[in-house]
Amino acid sequence: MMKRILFYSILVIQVVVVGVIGWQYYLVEDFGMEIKLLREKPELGKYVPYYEYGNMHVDYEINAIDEDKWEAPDSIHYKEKVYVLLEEGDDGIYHVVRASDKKLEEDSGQVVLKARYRYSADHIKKYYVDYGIEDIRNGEDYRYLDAEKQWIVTVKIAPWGQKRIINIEN
Amino acid sequence: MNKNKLSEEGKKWVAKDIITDDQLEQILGLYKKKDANYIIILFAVLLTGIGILTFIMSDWARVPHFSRVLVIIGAFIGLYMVGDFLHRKRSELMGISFIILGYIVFGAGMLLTISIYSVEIYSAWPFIIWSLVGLALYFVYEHKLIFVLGMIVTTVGQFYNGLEFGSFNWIIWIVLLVGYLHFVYHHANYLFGYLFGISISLQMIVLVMANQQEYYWLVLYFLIFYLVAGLLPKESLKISLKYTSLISIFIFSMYETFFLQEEFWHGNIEHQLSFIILWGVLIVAGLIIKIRTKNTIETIDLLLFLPIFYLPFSSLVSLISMFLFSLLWLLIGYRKEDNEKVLLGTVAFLLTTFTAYIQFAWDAMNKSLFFLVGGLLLFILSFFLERQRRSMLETNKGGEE
Repeated sequence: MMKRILFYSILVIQVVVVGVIGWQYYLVEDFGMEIKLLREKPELGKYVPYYEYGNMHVDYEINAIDEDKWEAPDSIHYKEKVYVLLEEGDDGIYHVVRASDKKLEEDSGQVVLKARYRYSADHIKKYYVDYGIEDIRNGEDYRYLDAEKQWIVTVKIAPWGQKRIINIEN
Repeated sequence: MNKNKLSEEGKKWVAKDIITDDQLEQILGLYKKKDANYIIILFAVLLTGIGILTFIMSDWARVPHFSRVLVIIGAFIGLYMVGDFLHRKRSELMGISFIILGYIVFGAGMLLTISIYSVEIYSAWPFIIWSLVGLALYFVYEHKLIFVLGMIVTTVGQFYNGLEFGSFNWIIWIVLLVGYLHFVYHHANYLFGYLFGISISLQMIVLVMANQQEYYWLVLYFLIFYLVAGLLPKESLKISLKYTSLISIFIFSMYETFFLQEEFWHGNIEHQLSFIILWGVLIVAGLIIKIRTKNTIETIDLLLFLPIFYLPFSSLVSLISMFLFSLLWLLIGYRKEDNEKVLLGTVAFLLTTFTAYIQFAWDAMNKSLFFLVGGLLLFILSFFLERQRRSMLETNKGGEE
């Protein structure tokens, strides 16, 4: 009898796990905090998004972090978790304040994003991180955008840390 | 033993009045005829499982739409329910196959949902859930196949964590050591023992790689594994885990021999003092255990755990220690007439010979000659070893009559 109860409970747990992972994506839209990010104007063919299996790859301004804003040790390894503090600028767009491997406090008008370390480019004194929103799955929907111009990407950040792209404007 | 063979042999025993007809029937009754269907169902599960996994990679499934989630949930609920029904009412094996398919759909579906909704994960938590569900399912149905699958998921999860996040996941380790070990221990059998041992060895490799430790720390971990295995009270576990730890360190030694031969790498190894201290403590502990449990002869196993990289001519020393180990095992195997030891010693000896051969002859010889001579060498060796083994068996028989 106990085993029957256990069987049904693990069944329910599995349904809840898969269901919640899917459902939270739709909840981001209602509960998420809206921020605007910049996809920088491409420099001669650089940063032009590429399409692959319907995915579109976008590089944001916040992917590159200047050396003086970087507070993680050099021993940091590929794909390690990094916390990035963003602040809303006068243009309404969020820019990097600082980045660290330790948790950061946020004030009003600020938001902390979790990212993963990619690599450092010593010659231009920049560190590169990924936020998990660089690959846009329904990339084909954005074909109409002018890749040569600057983009403003609206992202919603859920309190539980997930991010979802809501809109992209030229 | 094979049932047919047993009944043939049994008739001879009856004819010689060793046992009666009734006793033969009783003995044969102990050997249930194996379900021939087993293999077919196993393949059916395998193929369907692969089918599901390929479907999940398809274009249709990879669209972020909630219908996909509903299809996945519907699929595994259906499979579990059908499996549970069949298990209770019809055939146990059929039921288990459906349960296993449900288990695969759940895990693969969970990973798919994470992927299509671009959920960012920072550890291998989906694999932890998957592994725990497997453990719970095994508790409910107590079928080996579920356990094997759960153990594979756990090990793959650890590898995923190592590769994707560059770290060792301690929760997965605890799930293995607390959850899985519980059943490995209480339902002690050789299959579980070996699988558990392999999982431990593989996870130890991830531990060393992910924490960017010097490679030789593996020696220490395998040594701990070996010593703990020797202390287990159940015979089947003791043997299976001890053998897996010895096989792990042996494969490691083969790898090390090649590795240390390259001057370039040798110069890059940092010799840490902490390692040698911990190693010393463990070796002394090991020796004390062996002597107190009157297993002094097993101290030769410790030959494989020597910190060779601290010595000059280390690749040569490594080979010598492997040769010594396998020869001593062979000797003891023959002396004690322990077939298992002889077999393992033989394999170890052949592998060592081959390692030495590759090491010294690969660069020096023409490649076709290399393989030809290598093959002949093995033929000759196996001929002598086989003759030795036969003569041992014959003296055995001679003693009995």
